[in-house]
Amino acid sequence: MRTIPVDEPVAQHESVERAPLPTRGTLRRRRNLCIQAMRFVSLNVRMGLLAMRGHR
Amino acid sequence: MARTVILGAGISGHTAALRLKRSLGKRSDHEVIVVSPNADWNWIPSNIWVGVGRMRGDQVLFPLAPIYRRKGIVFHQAKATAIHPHGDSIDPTPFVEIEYTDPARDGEVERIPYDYLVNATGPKLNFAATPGLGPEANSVSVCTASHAVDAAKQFEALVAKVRETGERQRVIVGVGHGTCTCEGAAFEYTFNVDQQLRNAGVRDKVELVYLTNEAQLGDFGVGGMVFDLQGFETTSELWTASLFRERDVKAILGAHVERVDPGVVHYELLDGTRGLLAFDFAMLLPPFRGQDLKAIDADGADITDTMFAPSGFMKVDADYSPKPFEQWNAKDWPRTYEAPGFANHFAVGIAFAPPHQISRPRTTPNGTVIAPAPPRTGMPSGIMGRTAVETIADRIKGRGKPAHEASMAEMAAACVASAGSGIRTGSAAGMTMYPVVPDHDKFRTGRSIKHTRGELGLAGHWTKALLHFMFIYKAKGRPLWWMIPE
Repeated sequence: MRTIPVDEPVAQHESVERAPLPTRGTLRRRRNLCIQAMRFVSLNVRMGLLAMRGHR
Repeated sequence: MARTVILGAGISGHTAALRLKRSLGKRSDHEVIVVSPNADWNWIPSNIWVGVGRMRGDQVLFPLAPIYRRKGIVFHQAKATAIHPHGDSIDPTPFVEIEYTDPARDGEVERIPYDYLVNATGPKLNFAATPGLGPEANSVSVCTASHAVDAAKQFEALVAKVRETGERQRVIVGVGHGTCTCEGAAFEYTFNVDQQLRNAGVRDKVELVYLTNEAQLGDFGVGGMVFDLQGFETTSELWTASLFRERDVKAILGAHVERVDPGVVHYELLDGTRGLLAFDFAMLLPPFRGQDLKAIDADGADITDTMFAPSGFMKVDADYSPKPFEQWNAKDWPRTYEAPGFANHFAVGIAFAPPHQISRPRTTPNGTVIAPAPPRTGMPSGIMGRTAVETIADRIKGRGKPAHEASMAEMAAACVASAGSGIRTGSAAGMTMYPVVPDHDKFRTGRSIKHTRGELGLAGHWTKALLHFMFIYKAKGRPLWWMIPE
């Protein structure tokens, strides 16, 4: 068995190689302050509601 | 007067202590006692940021004693060594033996009798399961604040070396055994390392490898998730793999780390092949097992095997009968967290023994088990702590109500996995799932498509940052802390 040295790249897993890349629009949306402010509210409301349904 | 002893002051134990004391009233005669070997409370999810040097260790820690003094909770800085659930031959009152870790009483042993016990001792970090694993050996960890501080020092040294010499380096982040849990934390650390390397302008000189026991990316120990994305069902695998491709992070999946030598990790894959991978920096999380806690019967007989599973976690009201993956059912999971045969003894958070994994366990052709353990940290762990003490409060007050329930098969969870920090440059994967344990009788995909979501973006980072401040505020018991959900 051979050690893969640091200067020899590790082969990428096929599930990563065939995964779709985000479009430029998606990347922009992930950084857009207005859109992300809305997502922030939505995510936190959803998390709060889910936390409350956790036990009885 | 009733006395409740809570072993452990992590997320579940501390939540249990604060909630119970509030429920019983600060001036009531009922006593709440916390036994924890650590003087400080640690907001563990932010250790990720400490581990890359974005946060100081003291920003994720605060001393427990002043909080408990203010709340009227008795605190012993000590570790529990043995539970005597039926007392001894002289007195049937249950008691726990503790050994102080408080420097003022170091090594002193004491017995604490109790009426109710909550075992929230969390995990023992089992670095010994893999030779060479851990900060005392050849890899680093972010499991504790001090581990994370050490990891940050070594990571900063690596960045400085690349800047100075321009030499190519390899960083491995992942889990150090086939049965580890907390893959989400390894995922977070991977992408925070990626961002720090980009910020330092040396990303092109460093190969970043994610080494995990998950058979697919996005499994996270919960068997993966199915989301509704713009009208189509998509998997957490696809979504996660996309992030790996975008950030150029290599993935080695279905791996059991056999040994970590200085600069070389030895692993076996699901197909039975073995590999050796050289590294310059490796952050590998350890597997967990239960704390070294014995159970002794009134006649002095060792009943540890009755009260605890072989993994060292405490048995509760779950169905522990061995069965194949195809027969696993949501009903196998505990609801009240009370130990069968030991009334008024509860185990919550990581301390309870799960009936089985959530992800499908696999075995290599060489017989090595590669089975991500079920995560039961964070939100579920806080909910379990609260549920157990709600039952205790009812019993103390003589309300005659049935035990409160919070099965992980009916519980939702939110996970915010950081993929980089910074108020304008941060990113995180915000995931919600309902339920945590898939229920294929109720939901076609095992979980509600409506409540199982994943999204990546700056909003996730803001949420992660908000949770940092909000949960430290809550854990300090500041005004209206109790309004913040688990």
